[in-house]
Parts: sequence; structure tokens; C-alpha cells
Amino acid sequence: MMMIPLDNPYSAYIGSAYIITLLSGSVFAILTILKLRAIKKRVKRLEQASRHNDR
Amino acid sequence: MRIIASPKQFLHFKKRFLPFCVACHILTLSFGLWFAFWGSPPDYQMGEAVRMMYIHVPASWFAMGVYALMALHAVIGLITKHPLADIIVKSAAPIGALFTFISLITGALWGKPMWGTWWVWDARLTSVLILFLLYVGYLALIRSFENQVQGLKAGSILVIVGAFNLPIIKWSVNWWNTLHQPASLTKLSAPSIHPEMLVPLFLMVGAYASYFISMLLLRIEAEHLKRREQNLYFLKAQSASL
Repeated sequence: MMMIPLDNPYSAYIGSAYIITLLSGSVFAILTILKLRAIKKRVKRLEQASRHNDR
Repeated sequence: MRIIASPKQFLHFKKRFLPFCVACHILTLSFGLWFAFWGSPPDYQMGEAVRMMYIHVPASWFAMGVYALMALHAVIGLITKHPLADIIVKSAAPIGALFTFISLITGALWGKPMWGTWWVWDARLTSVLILFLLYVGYLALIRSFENQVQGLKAGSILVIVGAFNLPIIKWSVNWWNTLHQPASLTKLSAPSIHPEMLVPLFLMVGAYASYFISMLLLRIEAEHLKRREQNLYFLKAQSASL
């Protein structure tokens, strides 16, 4: 098993690149899920209201 | 297309397909990261800095691939007037912008130790920056119209016009003298990358692909729900006026 040496001169650049990629991907996924949940809630409320009005 | 057309069918498809995509993403990302850091050798020229390739190259491929997908659906949307084509274009745009952002940032972080600079205004880097601006421009344009249909139509035209940037990105390294290295994997002759480096690269491509499909499914569902919400508001306003 090869191992990346921590004292290599590029570790700061490599680490930053991976952290930025993983963080931005995670934040984007979380925001997408939260946005979807919020729309689902709004639609559910509207559907309930329209059913209530029908009665 | 037909599966996404009916919201009911789409939800059924999404329910079955999304867990598979998420599982694929977790697996390919875990193995990809392991191989990227521990399972692959350093490059004989770049040394350890080659590990940047495993996140930068797939991000760049998907930045271009997503735009090509958007352009294809923009053409379909303009010809057939099918609203689903617009939904796909609109849902894919933020994901493509994210991939382009990752490509630019990781490229700068790779460029500093290799070229001695974060950024140069050479053909490849500038054309990728233009791609990012096209994504952002599309998102801004569709939001600037009060009439959503008109906004999406204008956005589709922008996407189609912007598609001319894709061959420029691809062949800029061959047409002009650039700091960026030419293609080493997608050239027509045999790839000049060691097979041990191809394993993490393709695992990361799998991770990006499964991430893209998962996010696209979620955003298409959100877009379907937004349209349902608008219809419900319209019905509510109509019943209130009666």
C-alpha cells in the first residue's frame, strides 16, 4: 500500500482542493434537499387548504 | 423522457432509482478517495501533485458534459415545445455550475505549485471561465423574466449559442499555445496515463456521475412540485374570485 507522505510540498494544495470539492458538493446537496422539503410542505398545505375549501 | 413526463411515473421511478444512485455515489467516492490517496503512485514528473487530477479532471468533464446535455434539451425544447425539456435544462444548470466552479478552483490549486501561478488568461482557462459565466448567466436570465415560459425560452437560446464554447474548450490546448497540458486520456491513440492511475480516476468519474444523477432527480422533483404549487395557487385565486 502506497501512502501519500504528509510532508510533501503539495499537501496543502491537495488538501484544500479535496476539502473545497467535498464541502461544496455537500452544501449543494443539503441545500437541494432542504429546498425540496420546503416545496413539499408548501404543496401539502395548499392541497389540504383546497380540499378544505371543496368541502 | 416519458418517465419524467408524468409526475406520478417520475416519483415512482425516482423512489426506486435514487437509493441506488446514492449507494453508488457513497461506494465510488469512498473507494475513489482511498485509491486517490493510498492506492495510486505519484507521477514521475508532478510527484504527489498528480492526486489533484482525480477531482479536477472529472469535474471538468462533467462541467462540459452537463452543458452538452442542457444544449441538447434546449434544442429539443425549442423544436417540440415540450415543457419537460425546459425542466431538465433548468434542473441541470446549477449542478453544471457547481462542477465548473470545482474545476476552476481545483485547477487554480493545481496550477500554483505546477506553473507558479493561480491563473493565466490562456485559451483553456478562459474558455472554462466563460462556461461558468454561461451557467450563471442562464440562471440569472430565466429568473429575470416575469413570464416563466418566456424566460425559459430565452435561456434555451442562450444555452444553444453558448454551446459553441464546448469545442473551443476541448481543442483550445491543440489550437493555441497554452500552459494547460493537452489531453492525455481522451486522445485517439492509447491514453498516456498509467493503469494504476486510471482506477481512481474512473472511480471518481463514477462518483461525479452518481452525484449528478441524484441531484438531477431531486431538482426535477422540486421543479414538478413548483409547477403543482403554481397550479394550486391559480385554482385558489380562481375559486376566490367566483
